[in-house]
Amino acid sequence: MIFLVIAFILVVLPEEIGDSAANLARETVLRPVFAIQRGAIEREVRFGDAERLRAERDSLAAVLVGSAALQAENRQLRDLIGIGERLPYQFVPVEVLHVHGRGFDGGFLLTAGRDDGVVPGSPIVSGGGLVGMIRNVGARGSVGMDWTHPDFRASGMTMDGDTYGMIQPYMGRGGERLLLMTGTPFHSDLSEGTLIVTSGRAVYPRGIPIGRILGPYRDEGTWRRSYLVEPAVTLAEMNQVLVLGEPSEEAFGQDLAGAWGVRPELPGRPADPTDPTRAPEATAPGVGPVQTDPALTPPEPDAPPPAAPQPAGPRVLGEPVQPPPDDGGR
Amino acid sequence: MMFRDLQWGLVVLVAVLVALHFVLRIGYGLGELAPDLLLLSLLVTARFVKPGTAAGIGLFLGFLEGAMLPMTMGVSAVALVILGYVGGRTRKWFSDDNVVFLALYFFLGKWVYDGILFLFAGARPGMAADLLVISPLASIYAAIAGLLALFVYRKLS
Repeated sequence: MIFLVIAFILVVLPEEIGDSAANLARETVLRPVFAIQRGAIEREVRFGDAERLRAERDSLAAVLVGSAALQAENRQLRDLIGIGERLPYQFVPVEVLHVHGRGFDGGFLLTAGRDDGVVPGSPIVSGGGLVGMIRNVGARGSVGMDWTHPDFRASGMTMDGDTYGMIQPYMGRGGERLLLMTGTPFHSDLSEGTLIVTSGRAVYPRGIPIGRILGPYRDEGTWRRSYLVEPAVTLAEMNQVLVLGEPSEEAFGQDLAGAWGVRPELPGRPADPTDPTRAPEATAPGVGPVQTDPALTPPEPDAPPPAAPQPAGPRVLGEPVQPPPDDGGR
Repeated sequence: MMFRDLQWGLVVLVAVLVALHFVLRIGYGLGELAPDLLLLSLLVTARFVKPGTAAGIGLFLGFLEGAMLPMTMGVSAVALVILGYVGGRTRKWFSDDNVVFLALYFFLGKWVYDGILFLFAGARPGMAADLLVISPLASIYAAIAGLLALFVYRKLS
């Protein structure tokens, strides 16, 4: 009976305490298991898909040759106007350790922790868009929550900023994993394929792709609507992710859409589908190849920059976070 | 029976099963392709120790499992404490030599375990299919693995 009581206490323990105990077990008794898993992942990454890596290398070489002049010019222009890197956030590249439990979804372990600069509440992103956020952090590992977790919530909006809503996980009748955008105004009429990004109003910085509208869900009465959203990042794509750190001072509140090759549209200025500088929504992250975007900031309403179309290529998402100085203050 | 006296053999068996569980399921990322050896180690142990002891072992194993599954601390522990205790009680009900009962024991143990986990996870779409289709298959898998583990243990002891 006493063991059952202890077990129930473990269940009702505050999450921080429970995860501290779990971290202790993970960093002691279970450490060899994680070492094996990391080794397996590294082997898979190193040897698993040589053809894909070769193709990526070739593509990269082609892009580098083709865009060398543009990059030099771009660098000079950035220097002139004082714009920093594409993604004005520090980040930590991390591998995801998936552990499946019956009936429990949406939690995963990450191979970086406090020692690497990861802090609780940090957004987790991938090349496709938003993955989730950091829940708890240990010294060398952390616990993340992806968009399938029942507690996941994000404030989302359309790229033009006209329609806002709350994003939450949704499981279809067939068990398909989708998102639901709730609380949008009744007069909103979002067409299929509309890109939804984070609004920057809550935990996540503005402009991270969340997904694309699949269609209306069902009216929640007479004053608001809900939409089903196809996530930008599928579960299968959550292997290598980035944990965002603190934004640089000048970049606080900046729209990150450009880092995913999506250019924010200003309200009242509908995008021209024939405009060659238009944000590549049709090839947005998670759906198709992402294009590099020459503009870091939204175009000025009075003087839209006539940026030339850019070739598809690899994204440069900023500088890896530097490990904190070893001053014993960790 | 002879192997009842070989408690160290039992300890080794349980340690191997537990290590294999984590190495296969998590270390090599096999997930449910590997049988639930953690539960099997408890069910096997419960046949040889007192119900209270089995419940204590279940608590420890459940804690380890909870440490591996993010944000589920305690749920596996509750399930394994219950199963350890009940498993220990079943010694009075049937003998270790009855293969059919042993298979049923492992099968039901796994199914009940999954049921308790689902109970804590709460209702969600697809849960019934998981519990009525996937879980029984996983339970059959566990039963076969459990019988095999017992067979090896008896041979070695």
